[in-house]
Amino acid sequence: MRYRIFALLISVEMLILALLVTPGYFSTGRTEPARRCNRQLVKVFKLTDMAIWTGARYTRHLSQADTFSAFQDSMGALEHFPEGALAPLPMMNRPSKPGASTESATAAKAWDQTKNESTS
Amino acid sequence: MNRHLKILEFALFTLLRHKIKNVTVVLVYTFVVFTLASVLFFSQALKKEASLLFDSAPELIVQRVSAGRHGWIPLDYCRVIEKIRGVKSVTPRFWGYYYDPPTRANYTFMGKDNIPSEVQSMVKGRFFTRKERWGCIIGQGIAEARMLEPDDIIPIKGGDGNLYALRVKGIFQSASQLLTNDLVVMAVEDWRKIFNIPAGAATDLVTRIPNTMEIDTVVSKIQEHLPDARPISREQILKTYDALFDWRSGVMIVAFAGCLAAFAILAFDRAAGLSADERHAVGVLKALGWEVSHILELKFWEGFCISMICFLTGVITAHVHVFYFGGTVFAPMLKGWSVLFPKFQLTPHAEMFLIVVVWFLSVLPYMLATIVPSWKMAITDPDMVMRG
Repeated sequence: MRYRIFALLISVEMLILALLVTPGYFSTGRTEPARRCNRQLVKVFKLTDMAIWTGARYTRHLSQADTFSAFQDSMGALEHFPEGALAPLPMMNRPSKPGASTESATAAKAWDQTKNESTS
Repeated sequence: MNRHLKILEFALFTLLRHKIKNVTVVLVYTFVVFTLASVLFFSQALKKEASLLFDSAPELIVQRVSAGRHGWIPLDYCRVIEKIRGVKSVTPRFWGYYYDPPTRANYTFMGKDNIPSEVQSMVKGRFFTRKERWGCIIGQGIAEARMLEPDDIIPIKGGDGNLYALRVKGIFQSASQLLTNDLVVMAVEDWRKIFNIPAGAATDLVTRIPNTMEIDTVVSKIQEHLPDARPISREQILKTYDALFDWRSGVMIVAFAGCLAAFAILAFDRAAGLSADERHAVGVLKALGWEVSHILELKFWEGFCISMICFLTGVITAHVHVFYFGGTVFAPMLKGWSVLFPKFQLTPHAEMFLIVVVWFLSVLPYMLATIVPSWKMAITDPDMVMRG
Protein backbone atom coordinates (compact mmCIF):
# COMPACT_ATOMS: atom_id res chain seq x y z
CA MET A 1 0.00 0.00 0.00
CA ARG A 2 1.24 3.42 -0.98
CA TYR A 3 1.00 5.03 2.45
CA ARG A 4 3.25 2.32 3.91
CA ILE A 5 5.90 3.05 1.28
CA PHE A 6 5.58 6.76 2.01
CA ALA A 7 5.83 6.19 5.76
CA LEU A 8 8.88 3.98 5.22
CA LEU A 9 10.54 6.60 3.02
CA ILE A 10 9.93 9.37 5.56
CA SER A 11 11.15 7.15 8.42
CA VAL A 12 14.32 6.23 6.56
CA GLU A 13 15.04 9.87 5.72
CA MET A 14 14.42 10.98 9.29
CA LEU A 15 16.71 8.22 10.53
CA ILE A 16 19.44 9.29 8.10
CA LEU A 17 19.04 12.90 9.22
CA ALA A 18 19.20 11.89 12.88
CA LEU A 19 22.34 9.83 12.17
CA LEU A 20 23.93 12.81 10.45
CA VAL A 21 22.93 15.40 13.04
CA THR A 22 23.63 13.40 16.21
CA PRO A 23 27.40 13.00 15.67
CA GLY A 24 27.49 16.76 15.19
CA TYR A 25 26.79 17.19 18.88
CA PHE A 26 29.82 15.05 19.68
CA SER A 27 31.99 16.34 16.86
CA THR A 28 33.15 19.22 19.00
CA GLY A 29 34.85 16.68 21.23
CA ARG A 30 36.24 14.80 18.26
CA THR A 31 37.73 17.89 16.67
CA GLU A 32 38.87 19.37 19.99
CA PRO A 33 42.49 18.10 19.71
CA ALA A 34 42.97 19.84 16.35
CA ARG A 35 41.19 22.93 17.61
CA ARG A 36 43.36 22.96 20.74
CA CYS A 37 46.48 22.93 18.52
CA ASN A 38 45.06 25.75 16.44
CA ARG A 39 44.27 27.79 19.55
CA GLN A 40 47.87 27.22 20.64
CA LEU A 41 49.05 28.56 17.26
CA VAL A 42 46.80 31.61 17.74
CA LYS A 43 48.36 32.20 21.17
CA VAL A 44 52.00 31.64 20.15
CA PHE A 45 51.95 33.57 16.89
CA LYS A 46 49.28 36.06 18.10
CA LEU A 47 47.15 35.43 15.03
CA THR A 48 44.01 37.47 14.55
CA ASP A 49 42.57 36.26 11.25
CA MET A 50 41.88 33.14 9.26
CA ALA A 51 43.91 32.60 6.08
CA ILE A 52 40.88 32.12 3.84
CA TRP A 53 41.24 34.80 1.16
CA THR A 54 44.69 36.00 0.20
CA GLY A 55 43.74 38.28 -2.68
CA ALA A 56 44.10 41.59 -0.87
CA ARG A 57 45.12 42.73 2.58
CA TYR A 58 41.59 43.65 3.57
CA THR A 59 40.37 40.19 2.62
CA ARG A 60 43.34 38.40 4.23
CA HIS A 61 43.24 40.27 7.52
CA LEU A 62 39.59 41.16 7.83
CA SER A 63 39.86 42.45 11.37
CA GLN A 64 43.13 44.38 10.91
CA ALA A 65 42.56 46.06 7.56
CA ASP A 66 42.20 49.80 7.46
CA THR A 67 38.93 50.18 5.66
CA PHE A 68 39.31 53.89 5.39
CA SER A 69 42.56 54.04 3.36
CA ALA A 70 42.56 56.68 0.72
CA PHE A 71 41.79 55.41 -2.78
CA GLN A 72 41.28 51.88 -1.54
CA ASP A 73 38.35 50.89 0.57
CA SER A 74 35.94 53.52 1.70
CA MET A 75 32.29 53.18 2.54
CA GLY A 76 31.38 54.16 -0.98
CA ALA A 77 34.13 52.28 -2.84
CA LEU A 78 32.99 49.59 -5.22
CA GLU A 79 34.00 46.12 -4.19
CA HIS A 80 36.18 44.53 -6.84
CA PHE A 81 37.20 41.31 -5.11
CA PRO A 82 34.50 38.60 -5.22
CA GLU A 83 35.40 37.43 -1.72
CA GLY A 84 35.02 40.98 -0.40
CA ALA A 85 31.28 40.65 -0.93
CA LEU A 86 31.18 37.84 1.63
CA ALA A 87 32.59 39.93 4.48
CA PRO A 88 30.70 43.15 5.11
CA LEU A 89 31.95 45.85 7.42
CA PRO A 90 31.20 44.74 10.95
CA MET A 91 29.15 47.01 13.18
CA MET A 92 32.28 48.19 14.99
CA ASN A 93 31.13 51.76 15.31
CA ARG A 94 28.29 50.90 17.63
CA PRO A 95 29.18 50.82 21.33
CA SER A 96 28.83 47.25 22.59
CA LYS A 97 27.57 48.23 26.03
CA PRO A 98 26.59 51.47 27.80
CA GLY A 99 29.59 53.62 28.58
CA ALA A 100 31.83 51.67 26.23
CA SER A 101 34.28 53.74 24.29
CA THR A 102 34.94 53.14 20.60
CA GLU A 103 37.00 54.95 18.05
CA SER A 104 34.16 57.11 16.80
CA ALA A 105 32.75 57.78 20.28
CA THR A 106 36.20 58.85 21.52
CA ALA A 107 36.73 61.00 18.44
CA ALA A 108 33.30 62.59 18.91
CA LYS A 109 34.08 63.29 22.56
CA ALA A 110 37.44 64.87 21.59
CA TRP A 111 35.68 67.02 18.97
CA ASP A 112 33.09 68.18 21.53
CA GLN A 113 35.86 69.07 23.96
CA THR A 114 37.67 71.08 21.27
CA LYS A 115 34.43 72.84 20.34
CA ASN A 116 33.67 73.69 23.99
CA GLU A 117 37.19 75.01 24.48
CA SER A 118 36.96 77.24 21.40
CA THR A 119 33.52 78.67 22.40
CA SER A 120 34.66 79.36 25.97
CA MET B 1 -7.45 6.26 12.15
CA ASN B 2 -8.47 4.06 9.26
CA ARG B 3 -10.18 7.01 7.61
CA HIS B 4 -7.04 9.13 7.88
CA LEU B 5 -4.95 6.39 6.33
CA LYS B 6 -7.45 6.01 3.49
CA ILE B 7 -7.34 9.75 2.82
CA LEU B 8 -3.51 9.61 2.86
CA GLU B 9 -3.63 6.71 0.41
CA PHE B 10 -5.93 8.70 -1.85
CA ALA B 11 -3.66 11.75 -1.61
CA LEU B 12 -0.67 9.65 -2.71
CA PHE B 13 -2.72 8.20 -5.55
CA THR B 14 -3.66 11.73 -6.67
CA LEU B 15 -0.03 12.85 -6.59
CA LEU B 16 1.14 9.84 -8.58
CA ARG B 17 -1.53 10.49 -11.20
CA HIS B 18 0.38 13.65 -12.25
CA LYS B 19 3.87 12.18 -12.04
CA ILE B 20 5.77 14.53 -14.32
CA LYS B 21 4.36 17.71 -12.81
CA ASN B 22 4.90 16.57 -9.21
CA VAL B 23 8.39 15.22 -9.88
CA THR B 24 9.35 18.62 -11.32
CA VAL B 25 7.93 20.37 -8.27
CA VAL B 26 9.84 17.97 -5.99
CA LEU B 27 13.12 18.56 -7.83
CA VAL B 28 12.83 22.37 -7.75
CA TYR B 29 11.61 22.42 -4.15
CA THR B 30 14.43 20.10 -3.05
CA PHE B 31 17.01 22.28 -4.79
CA VAL B 32 15.69 25.41 -3.07
CA VAL B 33 15.81 23.72 0.35
CA PHE B 34 19.29 22.35 -0.43
CA THR B 35 20.64 25.81 -1.33
CA LEU B 36 19.08 27.52 1.66
CA ALA B 37 20.21 24.83 4.11
CA SER B 38 23.74 24.68 2.63
CA VAL B 39 24.22 28.43 2.97
CA LEU B 40 22.97 28.40 6.58
CA PHE B 41 25.05 25.36 7.62
CA PHE B 42 28.22 26.66 6.00
CA SER B 43 28.05 30.17 7.37
CA GLN B 44 27.11 29.04 10.87
CA ALA B 45 29.92 26.46 11.01
CA LEU B 46 32.57 28.91 9.80
CA LYS B 47 31.43 31.64 12.18
CA LYS B 48 31.44 29.23 15.11
CA GLU B 49 34.92 27.97 14.19
CA ALA B 50 36.21 31.54 14.14
CA SER B 51 34.68 32.34 17.53
CA LEU B 52 36.23 29.20 19.06
CA LEU B 53 39.68 29.89 17.59
CA PHE B 54 39.94 33.63 18.26
CA ASP B 55 38.68 33.35 21.80
CA SER B 56 42.41 33.12 22.64
CA ALA B 57 43.44 35.98 20.34
CA PRO B 58 45.26 38.95 21.88
CA GLU B 59 43.06 41.28 23.96
CA LEU B 60 44.27 44.35 22.10
CA ILE B 61 46.28 45.05 18.96
CA VAL B 62 47.62 48.58 18.53
CA GLN B 63 48.36 49.75 15.01
CA ARG B 64 49.71 53.09 13.88
CA VAL B 65 47.86 55.03 11.21
CA SER B 66 50.01 57.27 9.06
CA ALA B 67 48.40 59.46 6.37
CA GLY B 68 45.29 57.28 6.44
CA ARG B 69 47.19 54.03 6.05
CA HIS B 70 48.48 51.33 8.36
CA GLY B 71 52.12 52.32 8.98
CA TRP B 72 55.07 50.93 10.93
CA ILE B 73 54.76 51.50 14.64
CA PRO B 74 57.84 52.68 16.61
CA LEU B 75 58.91 50.28 19.35
CA ASP B 76 59.08 53.34 21.68
CA TYR B 77 55.30 53.19 21.80
CA CYS B 78 55.67 50.00 23.88
CA ARG B 79 56.97 52.02 26.84
CA VAL B 80 54.10 54.48 26.62
CA ILE B 81 51.49 51.73 26.57
CA GLU B 82 53.17 49.64 29.29
CA LYS B 83 52.82 52.55 31.73
CA ILE B 84 49.02 52.51 31.41
CA ARG B 85 47.39 50.88 34.41
CA GLY B 86 45.81 47.57 33.50
CA VAL B 87 48.34 46.64 30.83
CA LYS B 88 50.34 43.54 31.69
CA SER B 89 52.73 43.47 28.72
CA VAL B 90 53.28 44.85 25.24
CA THR B 91 54.87 42.69 22.56
CA PRO B 92 55.65 43.80 19.02
CA ARG B 93 54.44 41.79 16.04
CA PHE B 94 56.40 41.66 12.82
CA TRP B 95 54.41 40.66 9.77
CA GLY B 96 53.74 41.76 6.23
CA TYR B 97 52.70 40.58 2.79
CA TYR B 98 54.79 39.23 -0.04
CA TYR B 99 53.62 38.79 -3.60
CA ASP B 100 55.12 35.68 -5.21
CA PRO B 101 55.19 36.09 -9.03
CA PRO B 102 55.66 32.39 -9.95
CA THR B 103 52.49 31.34 -8.11
CA ARG B 104 50.80 34.77 -8.36
CA ALA B 105 49.85 34.37 -4.73
CA ASN B 106 50.17 36.62 -1.71
CA TYR B 107 51.97 35.20 1.30
CA THR B 108 51.97 36.50 4.86
CA PHE B 109 55.51 36.73 6.20
CA MET B 110 55.89 36.74 9.95
CA GLY B 111 59.00 37.34 12.04
CA LYS B 112 59.06 35.38 15.30
CA ASP B 113 61.83 34.52 17.75
CA ASN B 114 61.64 32.22 20.79
CA ILE B 115 58.99 29.82 19.54
CA PRO B 116 57.94 27.51 22.42
CA SER B 117 58.62 23.83 22.02
CA GLU B 118 54.99 22.72 22.45
CA VAL B 119 54.26 24.08 18.97
CA GLN B 120 56.79 21.60 17.54
CA SER B 121 54.13 18.92 17.09
CA MET B 122 52.14 21.18 14.80
CA VAL B 123 54.87 21.20 12.20
CA LYS B 124 56.01 18.50 9.80
CA GLY B 125 59.77 18.79 10.10
CA ARG B 126 61.09 21.10 12.79
CA PHE B 127 61.38 24.76 13.74
CA PHE B 128 64.43 26.86 12.98
CA THR B 129 66.82 27.67 15.82
CA ARG B 130 68.25 31.07 16.72
CA LYS B 131 71.62 30.19 15.25
CA GLU B 132 70.16 29.10 11.91
CA ARG B 133 69.84 32.01 9.51
CA TRP B 134 67.32 32.01 6.70
CA GLY B 135 65.30 29.08 7.98
CA CYS B 136 61.53 29.24 7.76
CA ILE B 137 58.30 27.36 8.43
CA ILE B 138 55.70 27.54 5.68
CA GLY B 139 52.01 26.81 5.41
CA GLN B 140 50.55 23.83 3.60
CA GLY B 141 49.15 26.03 0.81
CA ILE B 142 52.58 27.43 -0.04
CA ALA B 143 54.15 23.96 0.11
CA GLU B 144 51.57 22.67 -2.39
CA ALA B 145 51.74 25.71 -4.67
CA ARG B 146 55.51 25.65 -4.79
CA MET B 147 55.87 21.85 -4.44
CA LEU B 148 58.12 22.21 -1.43
CA GLU B 149 59.23 19.72 1.20
CA PRO B 150 61.38 20.27 4.32
CA ASP B 151 64.97 21.22 3.40
CA ASP B 152 63.90 22.73 0.07
CA ILE B 153 64.77 26.31 -0.78
CA ILE B 154 62.31 29.08 -1.51
CA PRO B 155 63.86 32.13 -3.23
CA ILE B 156 62.46 35.46 -2.07
CA LYS B 157 63.17 38.87 -3.59
CA GLY B 158 63.84 41.32 -0.82
CA GLY B 159 62.93 44.96 -0.54
CA ASP B 160 66.54 45.88 -1.38
CA GLY B 161 66.33 44.01 -4.70
CA ASN B 162 68.50 41.09 -3.53
CA LEU B 163 67.43 37.47 -3.78
CA TYR B 164 67.28 35.59 -0.47
CA ALA B 165 67.23 31.80 -0.31
CA LEU B 166 65.04 30.66 2.57
CA ARG B 167 65.41 27.06 3.64
CA VAL B 168 62.18 25.31 4.56
CA LYS B 169 62.71 23.69 7.96
CA GLY B 170 59.15 22.63 8.49
CA ILE B 171 55.61 22.76 7.08
CA PHE B 172 52.56 23.47 9.23
CA GLN B 173 50.23 20.50 9.59
CA SER B 174 47.23 20.47 7.28
CA ALA B 175 44.84 20.60 10.27
CA SER B 176 45.94 24.21 10.79
CA GLN B 177 45.39 25.28 7.17
CA LEU B 178 42.61 27.63 8.15
CA LEU B 179 45.17 29.72 10.06
CA THR B 180 48.52 29.01 8.43
CA ASN B 181 47.84 28.22 4.78
CA ASP B 182 49.75 31.23 3.42
CA LEU B 183 52.05 31.81 6.40
CA VAL B 184 55.87 31.95 6.28
CA VAL B 185 57.45 32.22 9.73
CA MET B 186 61.12 33.18 10.09
CA ALA B 187 63.46 34.88 12.52
CA VAL B 188 62.79 38.57 13.15
CA GLU B 189 66.23 39.56 11.91
CA ASP B 190 65.68 37.76 8.62
CA TRP B 191 62.23 39.33 8.29
CA ARG B 192 63.69 42.82 8.76
CA LYS B 193 66.37 42.13 6.17
CA ILE B 194 63.92 40.88 3.55
CA PHE B 195 61.45 43.74 3.91
CA ASN B 196 64.17 46.34 4.61
CA ILE B 197 62.45 47.45 7.80
CA PRO B 198 64.58 49.57 10.12
CA ALA B 199 65.30 48.43 13.66
CA GLY B 200 62.97 50.14 16.09
CA ALA B 201 59.82 49.57 14.03
CA ALA B 202 57.23 46.83 14.11
CA THR B 203 53.97 46.12 12.31
CA ASP B 204 51.80 46.45 15.38
CA LEU B 205 51.85 45.86 19.12
CA VAL B 206 50.07 43.12 21.05
CA THR B 207 48.86 44.40 24.39
CA ARG B 208 47.96 41.92 27.13
CA ILE B 209 45.20 43.12 29.47
CA PRO B 210 44.35 40.48 32.09
CA ASN B 211 41.08 42.15 33.14
CA THR B 212 38.91 42.27 30.02
CA MET B 213 36.57 44.78 31.68
CA GLU B 214 39.39 47.32 31.45
CA ILE B 215 39.98 46.98 27.71
CA ASP B 216 37.80 49.95 26.74
CA THR B 217 39.42 52.16 29.37
CA VAL B 218 42.90 51.18 28.19
CA VAL B 219 41.81 51.89 24.59
CA SER B 220 40.76 55.46 25.49
CA LYS B 221 44.01 56.05 27.34
CA ILE B 222 46.08 54.77 24.41
CA GLN B 223 44.22 57.10 22.07
CA GLU B 224 44.83 60.02 24.43
CA HIS B 225 48.56 59.34 24.69
CA LEU B 226 49.07 58.21 21.10
CA PRO B 227 46.64 60.02 18.78
CA ASP B 228 47.95 58.19 15.71
CA ALA B 229 47.33 54.76 17.25
CA ARG B 230 44.44 52.56 16.20
CA PRO B 231 43.57 49.95 18.83
CA ILE B 232 41.69 46.83 17.75
CA SER B 233 40.19 44.78 20.56
CA ARG B 234 39.45 41.05 20.60
CA GLU B 235 35.76 41.87 20.66
CA GLN B 236 36.13 43.68 17.34
CA ILE B 237 37.99 40.71 15.89
CA LEU B 238 35.17 38.39 16.95
CA LYS B 239 32.53 40.82 15.62
CA THR B 240 34.32 40.85 12.26
CA TYR B 241 33.90 37.11 11.95
CA ASP B 242 30.37 37.28 13.27
CA ALA B 243 29.58 39.53 10.32
CA LEU B 244 31.18 37.05 7.91
CA PHE B 245 28.62 35.66 5.50
CA ASP B 246 26.10 37.90 7.15
CA TRP B 247 22.83 38.35 5.31
CA ARG B 248 23.78 41.99 4.81
CA SER B 249 26.72 40.98 2.63
CA GLY B 250 26.12 41.27 -1.10
CA VAL B 251 26.52 37.68 -2.21
CA MET B 252 24.56 36.19 0.68
CA ILE B 253 21.63 38.45 0.15
CA VAL B 254 21.59 37.49 -3.54
CA ALA B 255 21.70 33.79 -2.66
CA PHE B 256 18.93 34.11 -0.06
CA ALA B 257 16.81 36.34 -2.27
CA GLY B 258 17.20 33.90 -5.14
CA CYS B 259 16.08 30.99 -2.97
CA LEU B 260 13.16 32.84 -1.47
CA ALA B 261 12.07 34.20 -4.86
CA ALA B 262 12.11 30.72 -6.38
CA PHE B 263 10.15 29.44 -3.44
CA ALA B 264 7.68 32.33 -3.55
CA ILE B 265 6.97 31.57 -7.22
CA LEU B 266 6.35 27.92 -6.35
CA ALA B 267 4.05 28.78 -3.47
CA PHE B 268 2.26 31.47 -5.47
CA ASP B 269 1.54 28.97 -8.20
CA ARG B 270 -0.15 26.77 -5.59
CA ALA B 271 -1.93 29.63 -3.88
CA ALA B 272 -3.20 31.23 -7.08
CA GLY B 273 -5.90 28.66 -7.22
CA LEU B 274 -6.56 25.10 -8.16
CA SER B 275 -6.46 24.05 -11.80
CA ALA B 276 -9.65 23.08 -13.63
CA ASP B 277 -8.77 19.42 -13.16
CA GLU B 278 -8.29 19.86 -9.43
CA ARG B 279 -11.52 21.86 -9.08
CA HIS B 280 -13.39 19.14 -10.93
CA ALA B 281 -11.91 16.51 -8.63
CA VAL B 282 -12.96 18.49 -5.53
CA GLY B 283 -16.45 18.93 -6.95
CA VAL B 284 -16.78 15.18 -7.58
CA LEU B 285 -15.62 14.40 -4.04
CA LYS B 286 -18.12 16.84 -2.58
CA ALA B 287 -20.89 15.37 -4.70
CA LEU B 288 -19.95 11.90 -3.41
CA GLY B 289 -20.44 13.09 0.15
CA TRP B 290 -16.98 14.24 1.24
CA GLU B 291 -17.14 16.92 3.87
CA VAL B 292 -15.09 20.10 3.95
CA SER B 293 -12.82 18.67 6.65
CA HIS B 294 -12.11 15.57 4.56
CA ILE B 295 -11.19 17.61 1.51
CA LEU B 296 -8.93 19.85 3.58
CA GLU B 297 -7.31 16.77 5.09
CA LEU B 298 -6.73 15.41 1.59
CA LYS B 299 -5.04 18.64 0.48
CA PHE B 300 -3.09 18.73 3.73
CA TRP B 301 -1.69 15.25 3.05
CA GLU B 302 -0.83 16.18 -0.55
CA GLY B 303 1.15 19.22 0.62
CA PHE B 304 2.64 17.34 3.54
CA CYS B 305 3.90 14.45 1.39
CA ILE B 306 5.64 16.70 -1.12
CA SER B 307 7.03 19.19 1.38
CA MET B 308 8.33 16.59 3.86
CA ILE B 309 10.09 14.56 1.16
CA CYS B 310 11.65 17.69 -0.32
CA PHE B 311 12.57 19.15 3.06
CA LEU B 312 14.24 15.96 4.33
CA THR B 313 16.02 15.25 1.06
CA GLY B 314 17.19 18.86 0.77
CA VAL B 315 18.49 19.05 4.34
CA ILE B 316 20.26 15.67 4.14
CA THR B 317 22.00 16.55 0.87
CA ALA B 318 22.92 19.99 2.26
CA HIS B 319 24.46 18.43 5.36
CA VAL B 320 26.51 15.96 3.31
CA HIS B 321 27.49 18.69 0.86
CA VAL B 322 28.77 21.07 3.54
CA PHE B 323 30.28 18.73 6.16
CA TYR B 324 31.55 15.89 4.00
CA PHE B 325 32.37 17.60 0.71
CA GLY B 326 33.35 21.00 2.15
CA GLY B 327 30.69 22.96 0.28
CA THR B 328 32.06 22.09 -3.17
CA VAL B 329 29.15 23.73 -5.01
CA PHE B 330 29.99 27.07 -3.37
CA ALA B 331 33.76 26.69 -3.91
CA PRO B 332 34.03 28.99 -6.95
CA MET B 333 32.01 31.68 -5.18
CA LEU B 334 33.90 31.29 -1.90
CA LYS B 335 37.37 31.18 -3.38
CA GLY B 336 37.05 34.47 -5.23
CA TRP B 337 40.38 35.51 -6.69
CA SER B 338 42.50 33.83 -4.02
CA VAL B 339 45.19 31.58 -5.42
CA LEU B 340 45.80 29.84 -2.09
CA PHE B 341 42.57 28.57 -0.57
CA PRO B 342 42.69 26.36 2.51
CA LYS B 343 41.05 22.96 2.67
CA PHE B 344 39.12 22.78 5.89
CA GLN B 345 36.69 20.41 7.49
CA LEU B 346 33.86 22.24 9.17
CA THR B 347 32.15 21.07 12.35
CA PRO B 348 28.36 21.25 12.60
CA HIS B 349 27.00 23.65 15.22
CA ALA B 350 23.44 24.46 16.30
CA GLU B 351 22.12 22.29 13.49
CA MET B 352 18.71 21.61 15.02
CA PHE B 353 18.02 25.33 15.25
CA LEU B 354 18.98 25.81 11.60
CA ILE B 355 16.89 22.83 10.52
CA VAL B 356 13.87 24.30 12.30
CA VAL B 357 14.54 27.65 10.57
CA VAL B 358 14.64 25.90 7.18
CA TRP B 359 11.45 24.06 8.08
CA PHE B 360 9.65 27.31 8.88
CA LEU B 361 10.91 28.93 5.69
CA SER B 362 10.12 26.01 3.38
CA VAL B 363 7.47 23.58 4.67
CA LEU B 364 5.08 25.93 6.44
CA PRO B 365 4.54 28.40 3.56
CA TYR B 366 4.06 25.55 1.09
CA MET B 367 1.48 23.84 3.31
CA LEU B 368 -0.42 27.11 3.74
CA ALA B 369 -0.23 27.77 0.00
CA THR B 370 -1.78 24.33 -0.60
CA ILE B 371 -4.53 24.38 2.02
CA VAL B 372 -5.87 27.94 1.71
CA PRO B 373 -7.08 27.77 -1.95
CA SER B 374 -8.45 24.28 -1.32
CA TRP B 375 -10.55 25.61 1.55
CA LYS B 376 -12.15 28.11 -0.82
CA MET B 377 -13.13 25.31 -3.18
CA ALA B 378 -14.19 22.98 -0.40
CA ILE B 379 -16.80 25.36 1.03
CA THR B 380 -18.37 26.02 -2.41
CA ASP B 381 -21.37 24.12 -3.69
CA PRO B 382 -20.23 21.04 -5.71
CA ASP B 383 -22.43 21.95 -8.65
CA MET B 384 -20.86 25.42 -8.80
CA VAL B 385 -17.36 23.92 -8.47
CA MET B 386 -17.86 21.42 -11.30
CA ARG B 387 -19.37 23.99 -13.60
CA GLY B 388 -16.26 26.13 -12.93
